[in-house]
Amino acid sequence: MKACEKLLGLCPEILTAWNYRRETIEARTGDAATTSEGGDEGEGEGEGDWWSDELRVSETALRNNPKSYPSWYHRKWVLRRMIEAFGTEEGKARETLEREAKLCADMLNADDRNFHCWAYRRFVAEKLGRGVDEELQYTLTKIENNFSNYSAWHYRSAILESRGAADAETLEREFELASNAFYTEPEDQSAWMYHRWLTSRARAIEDAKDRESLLERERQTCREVSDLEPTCKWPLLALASLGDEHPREMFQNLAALDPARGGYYRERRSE
Amino acid sequence: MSSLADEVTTIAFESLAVDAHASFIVNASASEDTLEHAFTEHLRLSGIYWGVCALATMGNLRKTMDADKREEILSYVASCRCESGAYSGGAGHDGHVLYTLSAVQIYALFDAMDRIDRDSVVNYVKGLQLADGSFQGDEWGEVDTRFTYCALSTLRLLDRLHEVDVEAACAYINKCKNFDGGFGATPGGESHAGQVFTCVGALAIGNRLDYVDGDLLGWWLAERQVKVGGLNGRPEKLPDVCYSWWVLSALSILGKTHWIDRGALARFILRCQDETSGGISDRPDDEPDVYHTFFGIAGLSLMGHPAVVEPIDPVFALPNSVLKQLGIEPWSARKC
Repeated sequence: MKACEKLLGLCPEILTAWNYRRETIEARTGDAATTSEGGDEGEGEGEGDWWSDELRVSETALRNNPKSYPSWYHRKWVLRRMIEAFGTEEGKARETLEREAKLCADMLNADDRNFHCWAYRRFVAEKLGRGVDEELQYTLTKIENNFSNYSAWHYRSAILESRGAADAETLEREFELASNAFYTEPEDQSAWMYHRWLTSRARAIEDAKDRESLLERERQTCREVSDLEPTCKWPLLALASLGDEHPREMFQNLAALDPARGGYYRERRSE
Repeated sequence: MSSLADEVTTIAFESLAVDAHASFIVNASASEDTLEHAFTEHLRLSGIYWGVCALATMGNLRKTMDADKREEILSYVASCRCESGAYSGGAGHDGHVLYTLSAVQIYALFDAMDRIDRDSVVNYVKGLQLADGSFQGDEWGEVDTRFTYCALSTLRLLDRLHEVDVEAACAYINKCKNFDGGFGATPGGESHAGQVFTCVGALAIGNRLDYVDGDLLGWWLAERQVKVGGLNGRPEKLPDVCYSWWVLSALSILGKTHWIDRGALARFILRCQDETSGGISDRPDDEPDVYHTFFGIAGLSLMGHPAVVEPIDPVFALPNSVLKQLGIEPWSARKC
């Protein structure tokens, strides 16, 4: 296991080496993963067990390569075994999950677009039973730190989507968040992509008055941004989705502003 | 599709260094005593597939690989066969669906499908499907929509797609669909162009492209093109030659490659080639490797670049001629 650890320290991508660790652990612990095998050296209370060893090996690997698929998966495998053994309510697994949440926060501070880490963090948050509001708050913090954090916008959409159809009030709040972002960074596509999704959700609002007033408000916002940033394509594109009265003209302008995607705009124009 | 070849040829025809790339690929497999060689042993089968498929796409396979070389490669592939029916990335490693697909693709490229023990491969792949329709990559339980693609592609190439629950596999992919029309590795995972290719490809194999919002996803994919002409894998990221394949193959399947500037993309890919020593890198002036060489050439093939003589299929990532031998209709023929 020591040699294997060394190898993974050099190259964390070797799946077979991770498999070897898991096989060895399964052979040692039997079916029930409850028996804690003493580690090679006692590293302090509660540290000399296989779980901590494995988390350490995986962490070293991730420090070397934060995008290593098998290193992240090994972590998840260890956590699952731990949860099977101890449950998530209290004690060892709970404490570990709390520490894992902290590790994810650190790693996302270092690289806020690491999708492996976002996925693992989602797993940890779910096992910790974190509520929707807490998770929305986390994405908000990440977005406010960096409006260009598409990963956080994505996660926000996924959380809201999981709650079902969004009401007018929620959408109004989200539109405001997106516009804060694109007033600051009009050329950054992250918030505009989120905006397009919000628009499709706003169009599904049943109450016609609510729906129209929300869409009209957004049209005004986008016209304002477009006046401020006349060479920026994004507000025009947003207006086209919001249902502007001159879509054909809009797509013609877009094709001129953004010739690389001319084929797309021409097709939309002829719709 | 009319202006596609024109757009690319007028700018870029003469400049693909076909012969240099062919020798780069052949030499890459020969340098066995390097550290890099040791550190890539675990994915050797994928490396062989990238190299051989690039040669086949450039119409160079027969010229560069004689009967002995072909035999050498095929016996290496055979040495990666595991008891479970899977293939491993390198001899002595553990089996995985990623390399099982690579093995089948290599056999297909060398017209040696009769050397595969179909039943054992099929049984292995079947055993990877979980109750929710998803696939794990091996017996250790990691689930990812990439593995769904590998499983469905492997089975279709072996003409045994009916052995798994294709409907459930496609429904699981649909659960991984995001607000931007793209797909993630598992439900809730962020969209990524590589992942999008595997999901759209799997849905094409499963005949369930109705799960895709083509306008939304096509637009998201078109927005992957950045100012320098190259494509990135996610918003606000740097371009990389490998996305010439991941993005463009998905756009091809959706029939929307004209939504980007193909000429600019072709120029970007060609700027990443080393014309003297061969090979294509991720970005201009970086070190070339076989992975980016294949995906650059494959991207040029999808754009009808005339120096790449074999059109490549956007679903199976194999030359059309190879698919025809297997009795599979290439995607381009189906769309017409």
